[in-house]
Amino acid sequence: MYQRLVDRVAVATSRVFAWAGGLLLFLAAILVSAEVILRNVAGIAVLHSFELTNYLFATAVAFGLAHTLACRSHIRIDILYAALPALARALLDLLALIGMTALGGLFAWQAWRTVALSADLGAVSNTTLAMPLVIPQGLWALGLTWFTLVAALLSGLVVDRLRRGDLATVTAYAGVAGDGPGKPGDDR
Amino acid sequence: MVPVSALLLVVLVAIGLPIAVVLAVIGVTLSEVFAFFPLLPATGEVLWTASTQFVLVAVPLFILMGELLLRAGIAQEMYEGVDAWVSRIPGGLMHTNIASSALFASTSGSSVATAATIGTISIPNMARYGYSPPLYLGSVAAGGTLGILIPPSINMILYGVLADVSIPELYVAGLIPGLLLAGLFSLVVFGLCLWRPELSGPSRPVDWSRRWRAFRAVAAPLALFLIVVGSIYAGWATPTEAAALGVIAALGLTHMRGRLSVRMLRDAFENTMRTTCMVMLIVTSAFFLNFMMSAVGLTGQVTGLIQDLNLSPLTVMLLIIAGYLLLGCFMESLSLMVATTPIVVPVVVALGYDPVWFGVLFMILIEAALITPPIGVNLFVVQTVRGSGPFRDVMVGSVPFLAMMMVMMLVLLAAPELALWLPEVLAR
Repeated sequence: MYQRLVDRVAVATSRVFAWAGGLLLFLAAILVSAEVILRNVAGIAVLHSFELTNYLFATAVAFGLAHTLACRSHIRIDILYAALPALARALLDLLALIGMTALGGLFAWQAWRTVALSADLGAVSNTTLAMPLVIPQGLWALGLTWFTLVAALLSGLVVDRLRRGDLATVTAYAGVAGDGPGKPGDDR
Repeated sequence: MVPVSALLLVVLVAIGLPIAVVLAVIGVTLSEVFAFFPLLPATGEVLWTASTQFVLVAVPLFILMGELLLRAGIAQEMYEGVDAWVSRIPGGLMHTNIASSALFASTSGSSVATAATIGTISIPNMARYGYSPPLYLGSVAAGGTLGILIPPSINMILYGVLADVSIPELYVAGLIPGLLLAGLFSLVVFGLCLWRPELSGPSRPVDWSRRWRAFRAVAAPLALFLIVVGSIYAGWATPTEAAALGVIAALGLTHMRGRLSVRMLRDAFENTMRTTCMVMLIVTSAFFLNFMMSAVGLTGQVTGLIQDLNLSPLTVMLLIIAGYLLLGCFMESLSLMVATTPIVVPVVVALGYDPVWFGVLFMILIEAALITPPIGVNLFVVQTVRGSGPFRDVMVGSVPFLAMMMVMMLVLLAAPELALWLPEVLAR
């Protein structure tokens, strides 16, 4: 039940966010290329590619972090880990996920504080675009919040599986990549 | 303060916590235990700045460009084109591996991608022509490492951002050492094959018509190099803008070859984001830690400690090199680089070394880390592509190339101009 919720909501949605993030960066590449060509050929800079790209980048990455987590692609060093028995490894997997939840929580909390500050000050970017900063910062904070949520959901799943002694599932969702059976789509 | 941080780093990394978490835990510890005033309230701004660095956008764009090139299938033709010219040298296809890695490196910013691309094309030929596996696999693993030394380079971008060094300068500085290192790799293959002729593969006749046709095959990668690296050298584009142009050019190439489809783009996007977010979480945490370290004065303390040792700059540099070679055996290279740059570069600069020069030396150290067991990502990549056979082969076969990296570092120590001459000429 809970596992299906994690698969449907956390894993599948995060993957869609990753596709969308890639698309945003691709659009940024088109925008930036157009700006380079316009600047070198016509000598004008009108597209605000520098600033917009930064916002797209922050949003794409914040929303993409959860997919990398679900793929177990955030780097962990397994030199000692690999030598431990299965139960100890599973406990360290849980610790790693709790660490990720805490990291996401810290980053998201600080991000929302930045949004609140920008809102209070009515901060706009110091450019001709004069972008109200709450918009890009809000999207960024939302993405970090999603990452925290997915990390917490995965932690919950791991706790549940640990109690039932189902170490294979723990490895599949939270192990060091390259270890254990993995989920479909992990190796692409 | 220094021992506490070092101990935390070692213990938390060893128990397999994600690197990004380790860096953040150290950062929070420094601010909570050692700071005189609360630092956490400032971190939102620090994180936002780290997340919106235009220079860093070059990282996903170079990754996306690589994903598109991989799917365009230009590497196969390029490999055959290079082969027509270098296969007659004793060592045969191993020279093709090295030369096509160097050529591919001029369009790719990643050592892993270079090894995977060239390996996929080249490793099936190993059994077909009866090469002895170790040296052959070593030439693929080591050749691939050139990806980060020959521009464009993703690792140089990260180094440049964290050490506050000009990335175009790094890109110019890496060119000559990169080509020299490729030459040294070929030289060691040549020497070993003269000494033990059974290592060299069978001689394969090549006619001149194949050689002339080869020019067409290398045209695509050369054009990409001109667009991407050329536009940076010429001052028309920043690295990020050049990467964006590279994405568009790579997209054109996939379209010309009839490989462009929605599904292909979606897969390329997904892979790009997975790698990008892995890199960016570590980089963001590193910025966070960096801020804490400077705020509590840890960076200055380390530099002071080293200066108090009263060692000659050369001794310290050799110790740094030895330390990285050792750490490179156990640590994944990207984490190693991002975690240590903010601490090591101020020390190096205080000793009077040029940070651009050190950036080039650092790339070779990272290349060495990529092929030193037990943790050497390129060794794993080559073994994965190979599919069967003992992992030992790849490890043993990489040793001669590792020796050449050492030689290259000594040469750079003796003649820093190799890295610094070209940037000076171009700056004039």
